[in-house]
Amino acid sequence: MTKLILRRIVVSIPVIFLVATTTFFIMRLAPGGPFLSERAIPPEILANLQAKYGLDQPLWVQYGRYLRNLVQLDLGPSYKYPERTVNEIIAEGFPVSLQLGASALAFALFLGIPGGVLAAFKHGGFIDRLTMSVIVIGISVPTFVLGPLFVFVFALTLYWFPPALWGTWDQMVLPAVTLGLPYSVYIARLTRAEMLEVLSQDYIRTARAKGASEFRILWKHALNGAMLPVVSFLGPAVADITTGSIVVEKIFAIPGLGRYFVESAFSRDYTTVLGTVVFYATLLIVANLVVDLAYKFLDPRIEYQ
Amino acid sequence: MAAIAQPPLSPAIGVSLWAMARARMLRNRLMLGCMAALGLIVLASLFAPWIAPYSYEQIDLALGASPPSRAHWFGTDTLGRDLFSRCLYGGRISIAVGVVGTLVSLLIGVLYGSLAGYWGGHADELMMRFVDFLYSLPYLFLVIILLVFFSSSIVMLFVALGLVQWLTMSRIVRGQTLSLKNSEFVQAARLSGTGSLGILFRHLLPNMLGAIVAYGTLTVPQVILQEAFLSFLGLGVQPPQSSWGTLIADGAGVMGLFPWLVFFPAVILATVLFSLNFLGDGLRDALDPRSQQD
Repeated sequence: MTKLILRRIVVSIPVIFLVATTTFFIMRLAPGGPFLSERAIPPEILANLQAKYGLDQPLWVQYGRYLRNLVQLDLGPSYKYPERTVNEIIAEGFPVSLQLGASALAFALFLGIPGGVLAAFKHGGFIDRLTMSVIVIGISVPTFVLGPLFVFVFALTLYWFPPALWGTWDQMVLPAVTLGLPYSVYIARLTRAEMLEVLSQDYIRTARAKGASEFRILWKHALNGAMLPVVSFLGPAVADITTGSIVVEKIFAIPGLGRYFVESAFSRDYTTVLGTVVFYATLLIVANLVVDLAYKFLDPRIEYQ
Repeated sequence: MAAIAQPPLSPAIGVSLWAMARARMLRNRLMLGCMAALGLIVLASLFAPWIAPYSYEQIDLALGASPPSRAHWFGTDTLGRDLFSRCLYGGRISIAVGVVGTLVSLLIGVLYGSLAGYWGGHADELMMRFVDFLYSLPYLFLVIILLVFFSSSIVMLFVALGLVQWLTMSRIVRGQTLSLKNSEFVQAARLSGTGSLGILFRHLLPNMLGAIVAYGTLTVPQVILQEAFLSFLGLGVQPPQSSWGTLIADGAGVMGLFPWLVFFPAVILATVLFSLNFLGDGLRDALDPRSQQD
């Protein structure tokens, strides 16, 4: 186990290096720069600014210095907010995005798994049809329609929840549901399909023959077996949720990292863009590793060499 | 022999013959409905210059945002532009992005996947590890960077979205190639002196066309959705042109005042996404002998 984790960490280092390099050169090859706004800056000031951030030096010198700082986990100062470092921006924005993503994922799991189990148990019945109809809505109505719709109905018409911002629990409900609903749909679909398959297997019949209650068979024996594809779905889901979070943060005016990323890209804030991308890449690698470990834990048959 | 009673299936998954037939009928009728709706929307968008009653950029400030009426079927937006016409012209762009993005992803994915599967061994291992690596990237972040830093032109949009989508396609094609390349007809072709490229393009690829078409159908709505996502962030099509995504993004901001502005484009987009997903699923099931009909 320890060996597996160590090996994965060693493999991840060149990946993160590659992401940083690609992003660095894509940004630098593009025309424009952080200080070339519509408002013309006098050339002396521009030269001073560029000298201050080392933008006047050759590209490879800048690249070398960037990598040296990256190794020391120093992501540099933000060009857009000169008084703040990128590390500070991430430390401020990420906890908010994490709360949003985690509550969305929790919502998706708590709705999706029981929904899928019940749909499979009463195959063809009311809950099955209800789940399948929600799935239809889930795959065809994008988040950026769902979000404004929820705001319109639950915040501006019914006054149940506040329409925007972040902090108190009632402000968290609408964004988390908006972000989580599509995943609950996928999870329900996966769980249902897998439950249908698992329920026809021998060990379920054995459990039945030994007199286990229908409840225990469904929620213990069958569900354990059916969880594997759901767990493996969580890896890509984490990546999806981070991007989906960008839209939801914009709709509900949530000060998360996704919004900082888009804003910094638009204002060509090189260091913030780079720092955020490298940070997210690391996050996804860690998330995938955790999912793989959970998978191994759930299914001892799987061997990693 | 046929009269021997089958042991009863477990009650949880037992479905009567009639229930199955009804489900299939419904599925087919739904499928026909999907094809009809999709055809109607695609044709109307394609022939927008002849069908649309107004130009997509014709501004009538005196009119402002007006609800649906006989003159303007879908109402007008805050600048007095006819929403019906804008939906039609927007459809042209959304559909073009979906189709071209899918074609780019097909081109890369099919070539990459079939070569990896055909070569096998270390090359295959290396190429698929690279795909795994790309899978683990915050991909849309890179697309956003590409679009922001190199002007969000339509061509860039095609390329960026195609670049995101080829990964799954390459995995599917590789799997198919692996399972087909040792079959007898390929051995026969090899014995009769056909070269590698001939085997790949004449024998292997035509045999997996079904899977490619089915997955391609499922890719189109994903690309359309991603274009809409980028448009929502202000990175998609630039005004005065519109796509369904930009129309929805504009309409969502004024949903409380002028709900029709988001309603009509959202319904059109949802219909197209649902139809394509449904048809793609149906195609995949029909072409996959292992899948269970339910």
